[in-house]
Amino acid sequence: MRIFLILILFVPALSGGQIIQSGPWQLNREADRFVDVSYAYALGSASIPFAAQRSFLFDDYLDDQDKELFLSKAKDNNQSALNDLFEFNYGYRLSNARAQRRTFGIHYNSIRAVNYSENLLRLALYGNAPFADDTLDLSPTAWWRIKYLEAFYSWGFDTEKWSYDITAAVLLGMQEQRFQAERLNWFTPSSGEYIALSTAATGSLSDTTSGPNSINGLGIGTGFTATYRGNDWTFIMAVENLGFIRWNPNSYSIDVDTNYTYEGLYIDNLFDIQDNFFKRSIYSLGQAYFSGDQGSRIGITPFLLRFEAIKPLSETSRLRLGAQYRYRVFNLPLIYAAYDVQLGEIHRLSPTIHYGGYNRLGVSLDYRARFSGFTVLLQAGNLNSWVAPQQSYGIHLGLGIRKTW
Amino acid sequence: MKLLLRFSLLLLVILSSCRNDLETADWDVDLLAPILTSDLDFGDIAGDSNLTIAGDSSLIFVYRTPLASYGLSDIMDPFLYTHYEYLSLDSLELEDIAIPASISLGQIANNAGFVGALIIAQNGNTIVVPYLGGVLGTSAPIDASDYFESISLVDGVLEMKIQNGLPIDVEDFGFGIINNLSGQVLIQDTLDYIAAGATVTSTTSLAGKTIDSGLLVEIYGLSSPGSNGQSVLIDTSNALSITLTIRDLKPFSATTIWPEQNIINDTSEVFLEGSEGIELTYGRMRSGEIQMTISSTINDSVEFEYIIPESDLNGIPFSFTEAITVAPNGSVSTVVNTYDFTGIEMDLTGKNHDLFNTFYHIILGRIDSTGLIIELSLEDSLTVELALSELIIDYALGNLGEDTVAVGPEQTELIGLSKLVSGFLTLDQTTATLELVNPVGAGAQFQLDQITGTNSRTNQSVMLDLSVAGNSIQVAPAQESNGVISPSLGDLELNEDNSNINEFLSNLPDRISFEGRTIINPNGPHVGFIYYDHPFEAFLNLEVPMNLHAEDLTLVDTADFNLATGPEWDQIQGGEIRLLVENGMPFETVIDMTLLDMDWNVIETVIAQEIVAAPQLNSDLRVEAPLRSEIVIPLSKERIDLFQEAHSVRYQAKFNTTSQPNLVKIYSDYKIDLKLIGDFTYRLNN
Repeated sequence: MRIFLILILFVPALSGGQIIQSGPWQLNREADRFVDVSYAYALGSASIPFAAQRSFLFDDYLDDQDKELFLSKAKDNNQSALNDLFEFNYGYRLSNARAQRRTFGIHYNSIRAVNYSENLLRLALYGNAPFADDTLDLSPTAWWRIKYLEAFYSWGFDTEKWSYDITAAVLLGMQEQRFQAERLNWFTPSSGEYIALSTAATGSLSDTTSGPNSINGLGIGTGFTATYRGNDWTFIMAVENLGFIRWNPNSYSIDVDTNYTYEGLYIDNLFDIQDNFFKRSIYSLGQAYFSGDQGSRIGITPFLLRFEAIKPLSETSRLRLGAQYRYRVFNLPLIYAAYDVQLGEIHRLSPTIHYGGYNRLGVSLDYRARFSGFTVLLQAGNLNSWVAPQQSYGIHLGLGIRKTW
Repeated sequence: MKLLLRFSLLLLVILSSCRNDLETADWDVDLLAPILTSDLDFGDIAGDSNLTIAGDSSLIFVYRTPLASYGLSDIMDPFLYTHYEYLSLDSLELEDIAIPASISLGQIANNAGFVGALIIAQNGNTIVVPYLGGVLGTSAPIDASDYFESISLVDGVLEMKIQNGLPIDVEDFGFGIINNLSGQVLIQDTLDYIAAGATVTSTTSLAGKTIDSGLLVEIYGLSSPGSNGQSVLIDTSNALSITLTIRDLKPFSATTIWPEQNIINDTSEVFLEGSEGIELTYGRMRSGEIQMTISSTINDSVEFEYIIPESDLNGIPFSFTEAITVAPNGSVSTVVNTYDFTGIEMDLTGKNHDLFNTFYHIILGRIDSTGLIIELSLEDSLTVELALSELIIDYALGNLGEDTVAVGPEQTELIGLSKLVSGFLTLDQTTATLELVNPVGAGAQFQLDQITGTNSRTNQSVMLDLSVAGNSIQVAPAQESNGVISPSLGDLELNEDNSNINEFLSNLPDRISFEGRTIINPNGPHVGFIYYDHPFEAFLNLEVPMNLHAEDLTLVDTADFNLATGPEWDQIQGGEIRLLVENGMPFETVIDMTLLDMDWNVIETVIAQEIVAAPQLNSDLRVEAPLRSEIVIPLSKERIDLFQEAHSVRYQAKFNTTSQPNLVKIYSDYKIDLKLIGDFTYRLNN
């Protein structure tokens, strides 16, 4: 029971936030060569206030007030996600080549996205006893966790008005968990004699026999970016991280449509209760429900669709308007408007207002300092989370350093 | 500021680990869930194997306890035997050796003075050869190194065959054979007369002599009457042809090319010690092994063979061979190996079929002809150690003898009733049977001198009264046909009419002590069979219909209880555990449950005198529907600590049918369903 409850609470609570992403050459437009090292951590939820997430992460204990805060913005269908992204990019130009811009690098991508009902959140926070004799409809419940490394190489082509970037990548899959319940009803009678679960669900689980950072799947990926530079506006369209991973034969696929009544662990001899019966009792419930078919399977990666329009406003400022959608991670497309302003030779600020993704309305601020060919980037997303933590739903922290020549 | 610091720390953690397994807050949830489910039927109390079902589905408690057993393991201990032999070479055999030599007319004429010169001068002509007198001696070497280097003989014969190929007769022919190196004379003789063209043989004993490969034929002298006035053709290449034959050799040692031969041939008998008192003529081995250790000083490879001629293993006599490699000079070559004796069938009447419990074996040692010159001596030897261990007979034929074996005093535990510690039980129609099963080809008798049942909890004993029914049974020898045994059976029934069996069993004995004797072949010797797995056995069978009246019949059991390693218990903040009992037994039951520490001291009473009510019985005195009771066990942190300290748990259940004036039957479908339900606050943490 503890594992089950941890699972459904931990994942949504740690999931959320989002990163507004840009391509490497977009950030290093004039460079002949550059090296990027950056890390971004985005945690957010469309339904859980930032203050509740903060309590979960930093407090020792959740009291009833904290639990109510968790539920205060819950809806029938809620979403949370967490994305941490580490990037290393190296770009250079080849003056005589047709594809003059080349980039290679390694990206570490870890994404957790969860959909859950208010009832599931209540069950996770309070346990099942308060809901005895009630049938709890826990749908929709879905989660997806994927963790993989991407080693890529890209070719950039430039014309007077257009630029294209094509990327080819090898994907090293580390972990994937997927679960999607079409029907998930929970019933406990007040006598506690049984727990009835009615479930229609599919899912998969990558190899759990190896360590958390082992390579458990191999795949290939691609990406494409097109940039059009008009007189007043520049438009960027991109498909990124599109690929698939073949997970190894120790993976499991789950497809259940069943009504299951759990009546406790059967013990033939009541006079011979062993010390681990409590754990075995929980384990037997999990095994009955989640044992799947073992075998290799192919999974698609959470690719990103990106559009951005940029208009210079002055010598030192510009406006960026954009939309992004990440497959199966965003319930709503993320739209944003950013204002980039250069302060002197070194400092640049980018206040951004955004809506959608797995957050709702939020304000972010990026700060860049450029000196001696180095650029230091600090990103603070969802600033409103700090100002109104009971109303907003995520955090985003980014840190990067870049050297250009 | 504090928050910013915590976020900075979080960022460092994330950057350093690239993982998100963060420490998170704890929280409490209220859980309501079934934990365990189980059921309890009468088999759990009395043991399933002790129950049978009668025609009306009621249960009958049956109990069968062995009183005595007599089989092959009682007759014979596992046989251990070590056969040790020092085997010197019986004899060495060598084939006859024939060595040719010759002395020509020219050689003789060279030593014959003027006449000799005349003969040489007339070579190729026909002349009359005059008298030759005093021809001087000569000699010729003989090289026998193709045949041997040297031979020291216990016995042998040297034969010298001389064929006179000269055109003249020979007289006073003196000769000898000498070891060239040592000068030892092997043969020395004088032949008076050898006619031209004739063959003469001279033999001499070689006993105790040594022959070297370098020999010398010595001619001491001869004379000749000449050609007796006849003209003869002179050919100086004509010769006295000598064939030296060494035969009938019995070497003590030799360095030679040895022919293939047996050098050891030993036959001996092995008596199965420990089998005194019986006379077995045949046995099949159940298990056992033979370990062979052979040490050889022989300077040749020896093939060793062990045979038990009158045995059978998979259709052939048991045997094995081992090759012993050449012993290094002055040292020994040793082979150790083990062979399984399982399944061997053996005649046990000895070599001449006039013994019992005895088999015989043959040990052979053989050398092969290799074509190489090898030194062998009668002083060479083999030591053979054959260790038979744990030889157990599986099946035997013979006279098993006459024997009387005391049985007991012995005590057997009556499992099933031992948990019933007190109370009163009224039983009906109980029986006991003294049963003999004899699968042995010998007559048997079992005499039960006394049998007493003891309730060790109350210290009450009841002796079974056998004075009316009798206390002795005899059975005839079993029959066997094509390996199928038809055992002889016998029984003696004890019931309410001929004994006090009801009183005996109502005492709820948990221990039965008895004393008696087993007599084999009480009517005299009998030739028959016996199998290891089929001993003669005597049993006591108890049959108690579960038609009873219980008054405070108390069952107590103690089981190990160890929750110390279950961390989940630490997470329980408080609440209760409910025990739901669906009682389908016709008893009202009062339950106690206590936790004990490692010294069996009570540290917590978990359930005290909780009553599980008996369900209603219908007009047939059957339970129609189980009756539900609920027992609540409050849980507090302090109590959970005691749970974790406990090493064992003691259950006590007190059964009563006192609400029923009649005896009630226990049916096979009666049971108590139990369910343990947790209703508590549980802390979820990392």
